[in-house]
Amino acid sequence: MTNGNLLIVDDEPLIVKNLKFTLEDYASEIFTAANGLEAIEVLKKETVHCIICDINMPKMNGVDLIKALRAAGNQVPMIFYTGHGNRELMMEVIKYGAFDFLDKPNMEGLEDVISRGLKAGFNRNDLETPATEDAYISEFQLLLSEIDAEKKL
Amino acid sequence: MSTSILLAEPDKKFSVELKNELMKSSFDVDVAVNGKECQLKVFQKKFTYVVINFEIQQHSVFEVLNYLKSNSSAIKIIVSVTSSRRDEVAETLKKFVISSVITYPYTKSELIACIEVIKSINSPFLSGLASADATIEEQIKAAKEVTNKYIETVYSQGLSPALFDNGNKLGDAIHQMVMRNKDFHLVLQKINDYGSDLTTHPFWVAFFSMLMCKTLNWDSPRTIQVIAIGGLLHDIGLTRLPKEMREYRPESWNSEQRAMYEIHPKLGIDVLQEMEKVPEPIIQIVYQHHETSDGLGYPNLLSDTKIFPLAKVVILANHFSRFIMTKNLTPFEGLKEFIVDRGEIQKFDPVIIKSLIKCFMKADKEK
Repeated sequence: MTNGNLLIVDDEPLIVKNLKFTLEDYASEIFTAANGLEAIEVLKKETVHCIICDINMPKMNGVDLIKALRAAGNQVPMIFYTGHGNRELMMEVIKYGAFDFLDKPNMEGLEDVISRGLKAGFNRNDLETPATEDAYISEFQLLLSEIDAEKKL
Repeated sequence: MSTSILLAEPDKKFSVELKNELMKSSFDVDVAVNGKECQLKVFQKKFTYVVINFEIQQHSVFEVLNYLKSNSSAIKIIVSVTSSRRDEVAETLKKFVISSVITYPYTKSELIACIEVIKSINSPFLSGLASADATIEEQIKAAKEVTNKYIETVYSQGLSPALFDNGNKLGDAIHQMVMRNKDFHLVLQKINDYGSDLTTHPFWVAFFSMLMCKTLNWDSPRTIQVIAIGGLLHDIGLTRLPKEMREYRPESWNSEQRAMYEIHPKLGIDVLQEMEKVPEPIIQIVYQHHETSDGLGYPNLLSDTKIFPLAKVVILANHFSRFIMTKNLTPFEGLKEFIVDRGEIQKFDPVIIKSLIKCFMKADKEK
């Protein structure tokens, strides 16, 4: 499935290479950046639907990247991969809305998480004006009426 | 039915001799001399135990463990290692769920003793589950009782790596129950003995969470594992509170008691961090399970866009379960009352609310 553009942010070239290879069938295009500052430059030029990002990087780490993006109004789903000893950074990151987390080094569930992240990012761009509570209640009641009808049958 | 074991040891002479010994004791045994052969044999046949040497080549032990984790999570894994490297190996393999480590070279008696210890840890909870051909009501009842027993054990003894692993297996078993039965919606519409105690609640949270994931098509093995154990252990922080504070009775609390209760998500992280490397998504589910989309939850007042998506499922399942229990409603009555209550629905992601409603609908109606 190719749906959406992915940005990989990591200062370790080998990790970037491996991720790009593993995920090439999951995204339409894959961009890379070696740190948060480079990521911001990429985001100025390209449409990105999901970011996968290391926490610890030189120049600008994952925490500062998500802070900067959220402050600029960019709600792109961000997936962080973590190693040991990053507890404080992780607690900081969640305040800005991380989409998911993967554990180094095996990154179990990588493909599934990226697929969901790209889908969330892609659909986010297509969102109409959010519905009102009244509209949601109507929709929910319609579903309930279908259940009631089913029960009567 | 005999217990089946795969011995993955580079020294073929050692493993063949041990195989012959074990087969005299009615074990069903096969051997592999490298990691690749080990994976192939696991692919071809269902084993109960795999004994794998830490130094195995042609697909390292890590590659094989990753393969087993993704493809055969029910297999119990024993890693064999020389005594000089045992501590190093125990440290390195902490992130993998292995049942035991055995010192190489080992005898038939030593291996059997190791297997008996694993059996004694694993059997208390899963053996109480109903079989797949029991009625759905019987399956739910048995799963609820087994979960009650598990939660009681965790709350009384504290959470250990072995109990955490048991929780993973229990969660997997509940998930299998959810996936193989198509008519849960009928049962949910009719349930009237919901139960209202501390140990029942985690079962319903895990159960509703997994049903919602099924309707959302969030059903990869990793997502299910996270949701299942996150649902079962979401209130683990309560074990650090005084016993009288563990029951959810907000109407009787003063402000000091309320403040004490509201730190239990943070206490939950403290409990999990004492264990070896719990996956971050599970930690975040435990930490965020009282956040609400309107930004008025605790402990961090996270708004909708900031809440971890998998946590949103457990958040709603947790709240819905409490909603039913405190109002003494059946699940279906609770659903009807819940979805028209503006004060309630504004706390949750509407996509997740819809997934909860769809749990009560026939599957083909979701399309």
